[in-house]
Amino acid sequence: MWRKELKDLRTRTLVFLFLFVGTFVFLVVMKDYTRSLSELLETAPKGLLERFGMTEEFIEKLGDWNFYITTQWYGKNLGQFIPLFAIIMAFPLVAREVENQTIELLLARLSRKTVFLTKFSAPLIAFSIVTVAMVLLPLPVTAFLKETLDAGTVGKYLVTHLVGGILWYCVTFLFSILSSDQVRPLIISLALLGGTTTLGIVRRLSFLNTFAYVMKGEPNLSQTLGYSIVSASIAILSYKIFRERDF
Amino acid sequence: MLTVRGLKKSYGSKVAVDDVNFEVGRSEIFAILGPNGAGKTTTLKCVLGLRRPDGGEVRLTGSFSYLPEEKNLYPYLRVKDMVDLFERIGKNFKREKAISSLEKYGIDPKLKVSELSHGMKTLTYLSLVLAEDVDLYVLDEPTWGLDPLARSDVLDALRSLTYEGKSVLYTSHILSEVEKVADRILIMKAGRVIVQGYLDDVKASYKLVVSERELEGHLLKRTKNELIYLVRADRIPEGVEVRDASFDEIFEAIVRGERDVA
Repeated sequence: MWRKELKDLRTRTLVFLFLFVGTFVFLVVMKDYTRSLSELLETAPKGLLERFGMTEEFIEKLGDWNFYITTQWYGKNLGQFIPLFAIIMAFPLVAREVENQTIELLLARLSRKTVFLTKFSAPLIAFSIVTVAMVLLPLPVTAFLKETLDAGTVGKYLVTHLVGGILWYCVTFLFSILSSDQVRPLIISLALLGGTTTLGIVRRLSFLNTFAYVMKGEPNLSQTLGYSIVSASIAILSYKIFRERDF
Repeated sequence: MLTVRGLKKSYGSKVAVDDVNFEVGRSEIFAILGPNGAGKTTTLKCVLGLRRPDGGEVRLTGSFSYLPEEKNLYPYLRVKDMVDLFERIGKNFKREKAISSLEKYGIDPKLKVSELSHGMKTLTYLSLVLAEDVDLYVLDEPTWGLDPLARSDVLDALRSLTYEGKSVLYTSHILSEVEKVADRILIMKAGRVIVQGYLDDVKASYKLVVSERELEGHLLKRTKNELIYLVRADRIPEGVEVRDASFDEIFEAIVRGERDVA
């Protein structure tokens, strides 16, 4: 069944892999053009770009490879895609089998535990491999370009990207088990992501803002532990529901 | 081989299966019949553990294979990929048997499942299921949508399974094929078992009675002057015209009868 699962998620994984690698290459190429942003700053109406954080000081900092990769790769391009990548990987896992009525083919031949573990693990491993690879990607490029990149920062981003991504993977997987069609877990997960991010703007509810956690790369213990416990609890709940659900 | 006792299953307030009891013996073909919504598929799914019964007991000794009502395989896989998948997850799957069965039905293993017609998909699924060497084959409408030749072939295959000591539990809407292959039958209506027994015994235990007045029994037809009832052979009243009932008439009267009196 592993081979079938890997075949099932091949397209989604490759699309994201190419998207990430393409974005990173584009980002590296664009670094040389950051100077032209200073010219843009001069020609733009006064105060407009500053309002979006494009101060002269910021643009000058972008010339520094470490700052550029940290803010533009981890803090923007890769970071903002991680929760979406996790949702896309998880939403059809069980729901598609139920919708297409192929789940019976599996459950008549394999135990529910085996089906659950394979369905849960195979895409999670693929997600983790791609995420780790994309987080570490700047390291060899940095060495090749003879630049410097703080490995400690990369390690922190590795934690937040994995913890944040796995949280959304588990949430979406739960909805995939509860749904009988594929669209519902996708829509509900995206709505929940949007909703929690918006609510997270309120200071007291800032722990709900998983985007901020992923993109800031500051894995404080309480938030990291909290998200990990929630992920594990959702995974256990998913298994209990899957074990009892009628198909 | 299989014993089902007091099986119950409800979906919310709707009772789908209510106190169903039956047994399937070794080397036996057992057919469950009934109109749509009678509870046949729910019964099979409860037997297989795909649905959790609300009550009752299911005891299955030995291995089983299952052909569901909807013959859905993975549309993006080729037939040969499905064979590979069954080789990995199937129960005692015999690859050569599946390949020779597919060849017999003229199904190219290189074709994608999405390119198969409904009948070909059914034959592909059947080839895979029947290539599993198990004790009990649970088949939900195995011949639905097949042409008469293929249907006859499949029925022969089911019959030959019993020669190897295998058992078959299956549902069907096609009474003529049930009459041809089934050893025992069970007729369900609204989740309940109405009739159960050896096919010949069931046929012998009912008669058609033509009467001008209302009787106790399953009303089959109402003509201008007469009422035709299906009545148990041991409860035929005196002074009425009695005829032999065909299996079709027994099924129709029981399932569509205006009055159900067992």
